[in-house]
Amino acid sequence: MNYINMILNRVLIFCFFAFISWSCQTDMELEIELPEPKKKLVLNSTFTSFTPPYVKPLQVRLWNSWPVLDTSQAKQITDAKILWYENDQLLDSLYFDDTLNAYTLREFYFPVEGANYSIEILKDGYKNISAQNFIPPGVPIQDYKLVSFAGLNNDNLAYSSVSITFNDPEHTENYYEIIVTDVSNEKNKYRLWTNEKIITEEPWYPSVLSFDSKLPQRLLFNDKQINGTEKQIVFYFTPEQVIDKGKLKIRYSIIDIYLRSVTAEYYRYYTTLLQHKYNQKGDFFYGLSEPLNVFTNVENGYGIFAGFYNDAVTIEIDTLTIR
Amino acid sequence: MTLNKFLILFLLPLGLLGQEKITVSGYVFDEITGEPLIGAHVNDKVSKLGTVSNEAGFYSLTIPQSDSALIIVSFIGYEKKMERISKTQLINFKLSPGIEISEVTVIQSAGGDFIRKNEMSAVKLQPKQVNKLPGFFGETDIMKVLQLTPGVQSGGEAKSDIFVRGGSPDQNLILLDGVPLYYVGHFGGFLSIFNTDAIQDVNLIKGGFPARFGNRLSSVLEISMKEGNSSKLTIQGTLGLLSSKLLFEGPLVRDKASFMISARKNLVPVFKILDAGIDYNFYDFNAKATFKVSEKDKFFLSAYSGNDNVSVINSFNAENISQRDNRTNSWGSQFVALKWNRIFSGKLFGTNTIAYVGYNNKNNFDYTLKRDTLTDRLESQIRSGITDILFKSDFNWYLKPRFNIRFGQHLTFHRFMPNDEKFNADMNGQPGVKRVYNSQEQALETGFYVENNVPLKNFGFNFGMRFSSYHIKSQNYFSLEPRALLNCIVSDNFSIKYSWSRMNQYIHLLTYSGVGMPNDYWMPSNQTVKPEGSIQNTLGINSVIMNGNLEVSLESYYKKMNHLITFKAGESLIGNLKDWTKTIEQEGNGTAYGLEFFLQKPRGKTTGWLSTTISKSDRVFVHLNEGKSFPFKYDRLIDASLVIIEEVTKNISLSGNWSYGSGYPVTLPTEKYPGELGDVLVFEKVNSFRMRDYHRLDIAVNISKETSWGEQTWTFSIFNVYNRRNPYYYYFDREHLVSIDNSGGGIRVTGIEGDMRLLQKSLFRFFPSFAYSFEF
Repeated sequence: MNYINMILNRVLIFCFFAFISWSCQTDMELEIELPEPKKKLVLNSTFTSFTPPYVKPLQVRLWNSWPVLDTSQAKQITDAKILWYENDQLLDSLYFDDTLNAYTLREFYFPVEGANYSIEILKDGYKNISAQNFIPPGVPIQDYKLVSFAGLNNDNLAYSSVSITFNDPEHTENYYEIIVTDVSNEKNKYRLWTNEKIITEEPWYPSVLSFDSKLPQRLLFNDKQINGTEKQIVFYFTPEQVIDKGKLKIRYSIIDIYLRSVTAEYYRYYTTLLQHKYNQKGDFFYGLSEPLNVFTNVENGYGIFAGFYNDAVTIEIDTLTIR
Repeated sequence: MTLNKFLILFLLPLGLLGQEKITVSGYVFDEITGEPLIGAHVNDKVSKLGTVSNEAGFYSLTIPQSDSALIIVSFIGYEKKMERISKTQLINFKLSPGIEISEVTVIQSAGGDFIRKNEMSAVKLQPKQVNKLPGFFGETDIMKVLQLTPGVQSGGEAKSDIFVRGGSPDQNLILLDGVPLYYVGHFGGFLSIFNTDAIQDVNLIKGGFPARFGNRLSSVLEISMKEGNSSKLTIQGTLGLLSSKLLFEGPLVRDKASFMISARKNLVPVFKILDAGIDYNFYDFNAKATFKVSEKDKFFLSAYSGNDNVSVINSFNAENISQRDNRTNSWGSQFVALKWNRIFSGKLFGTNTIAYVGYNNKNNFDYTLKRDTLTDRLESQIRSGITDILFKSDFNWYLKPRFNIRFGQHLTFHRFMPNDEKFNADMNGQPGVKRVYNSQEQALETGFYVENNVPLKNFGFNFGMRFSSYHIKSQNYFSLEPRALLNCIVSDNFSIKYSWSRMNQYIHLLTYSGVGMPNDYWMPSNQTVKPEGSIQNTLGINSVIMNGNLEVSLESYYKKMNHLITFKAGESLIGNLKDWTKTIEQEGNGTAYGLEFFLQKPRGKTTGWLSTTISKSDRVFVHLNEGKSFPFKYDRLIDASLVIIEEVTKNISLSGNWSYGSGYPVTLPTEKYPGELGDVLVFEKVNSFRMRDYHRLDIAVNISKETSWGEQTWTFSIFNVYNRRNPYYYYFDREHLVSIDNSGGGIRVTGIEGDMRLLQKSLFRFFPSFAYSFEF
């Protein structure tokens, strides 16, 4: 018994020291300084040969980069000299349109398929930047189908499903993007999700475990698994809906569904942009992936200059009482 | 080298040798515990010939027949034994501890071995001495002591991984009783699975690899478990802050069979004390039984099992609604091995081993949301692991007095589970989603080796050749790995050693960098992923100075590695149910070179060492860093350690270690710009920044007392004595200020975003700890 008492005494002493020891433990933070890099110009311009009448087909926005620790608000650069080339021929210089809040050409101008476009931007205090791209051949939507009520999501809101069918051209690498917008407001993009493997296996598509991340507003994929075949893609979105007198109702709306055939540069920019953002939600349990820089095809700068071909269908969603 | 030249070198020893007369062989044991003594010296005083006991404690010495042959057996810390021998015979020596008990903390091939032995870049640790050094949370750790030796990095604050000569942790062959283990960390990697109480011997080889070792590029760490006291029952225990442990050892049948069982577990729920919402448990269990069936046959049954489990549970309950999510990460290793040691003759000793080894890592996520009568449920399970069944045979053939050959084979059946995933979602109203991804692959690996060790008077060499093959599905890989070590003994106090090793590795480790729970994915070489390879050159000088009190070595190494893999930037295996090979960069190359200085004082009341390393390690992958070379994540330009143990009295020892390391590389963003989804960060070149330098002083005092029932020891230690804020990781944070305006009869609270800052997270500052041990 004496031995047991003695060992128990030791245990109590040990617990006391354990408590003292642990109480000394805290996390610490220490501020580190970073070198300030030289600012660069940031170009954002995607162009196509067909836009709705109210959308100017060529819009270029210009920003600059800041040091990562600088918290000042981003402001567009409006006084740069921007030169637009078609097949290496200078077409015109762009001006800043306050209404558009973007640079554009004075003439109403449509870029065309098959031509090469390049842009050169000059701005005091920055290195000149340039980029080039083109509009890829179009891939039309062969068929589509909307199911306005496909189920209830985990917020008990109704969701719709859309299937679109297209023929992937043979012998070329093709890249695609699916977007759903309000017909009257192209900027109002719906968030989309899908179970299609050719999209969910893309590195950018959010993990099944990151369900707290916002769903993407564009579905990007390539034709490596479907080359030269007819493909049907099914995807989902949450249509506009209201609760009226205790009833959940899908509201009447008109939407545009776009199937865009995009260039490799367009695809790489947006997929790395999405991956970059989703990766910032790292998880202590699952580990953090290595940092990823967003792709750019802008020489001496950042951003994107890329063409795409739009094929769109406009669909009406009728009012529907769900529950 | 042409085949003819190689054969000449290979067969050269046969021509150099004289005629043997008699052979004396057997085991060298500790007289009290019956444990075999590895590296004991067995010399004939007359012929001046000698040998060293092997990893089983076996020796074989062939000497000219003489009536006056006097065999002297010695081992540091033990009394010498002498025996007159006149004929070939099997004789076991039992040495009793007693002399210079305080000596030798680290032996880089003790005594004359340091100069004469045909090995280099080797570090040997004795667990008894490791226990005298300061511990982390009061817990001493063999891996952390190895980090204080040249060429071995820790990989981060208080981590128990080892990064050897610019290699990654998967490139270390970690053998516990001859069986390879995979992940060897507890407690998020801050503590190794090796319980010092259960360990008999530790030997790390960083270069000049003997041909008997293969399937790893950077190091071999051999750890031998105790066989168990064969003469009396002994119980040892330790109560520590991080874990508590208990060890039983004793005879099953006196001098015929013994056992050792040890268990370790964290008893203090530190995270619960902190109310951190985390439940963390780990344990490990070691057991070994030794059966001496005859004078020539011994059987060993060894087992290890260890597991870590960490879970975070969040729950919320309100009227008609409840939510619960549970994230669990668990990992662990197991092995069972049956080993048979046989003395086939006085000159031939063999070991046959059959073993099962398993490693698994599981991530589970369960989410349940109940609203009224509706239930949403989401379950995810990600499993990764590797299971091996291996059979190997190793033979020591003591052919001539100065020529012995080792040869053997191994056969390993691997079953890989790179990234099995299950995902079930049953969200109300949505179609149920069930996805399963099975990734299992099986492979067969075989290997054969032969190794010639020739220790001559002024010159020695160890030449070897290893051949291995690997078969997976329809893919076969073959590898021929020559090894060479030359030792030029200039004088009794000075030698120059050079080694050249080609190594090959069929398995790869994919792991995420940065903070977090261990997420190790062991991946096979297959049709698309080639085996890793390396070539290492090492040149070193060794000297014994000040009447043998100080041992000095200076070694340089140059290592080239190829076919390395890593995750693609931004890629992860988590939740992406797909072929893992699509997530990786392949065909990476690595270069590592450095200079290592090691000064030891192995004997006397004051012992210790000073180690300094200057090194560089780079990687190149076609699609990373624009295809340009970048520093390896654990590249440390300068690394230094000073370790001192002072035996104040027989019962009191003081110890301290100071370590310094230049900052590890890190990839940081320096710019940002507006994008469609908010600010886009621009990262500088890969690993182009360096974190702040690391340095730390730890001290400990051990006070032991003999009592009527046994011995008890109190250990007081202080981690990070001068409270250095060392970097663990860097992160960005933006201040959020709150403005409260109470004018106008009400209160208006406004959130204001403050400055963006880059901050350093440090984990462990000044930290006293205490442990109590007993033995009876």
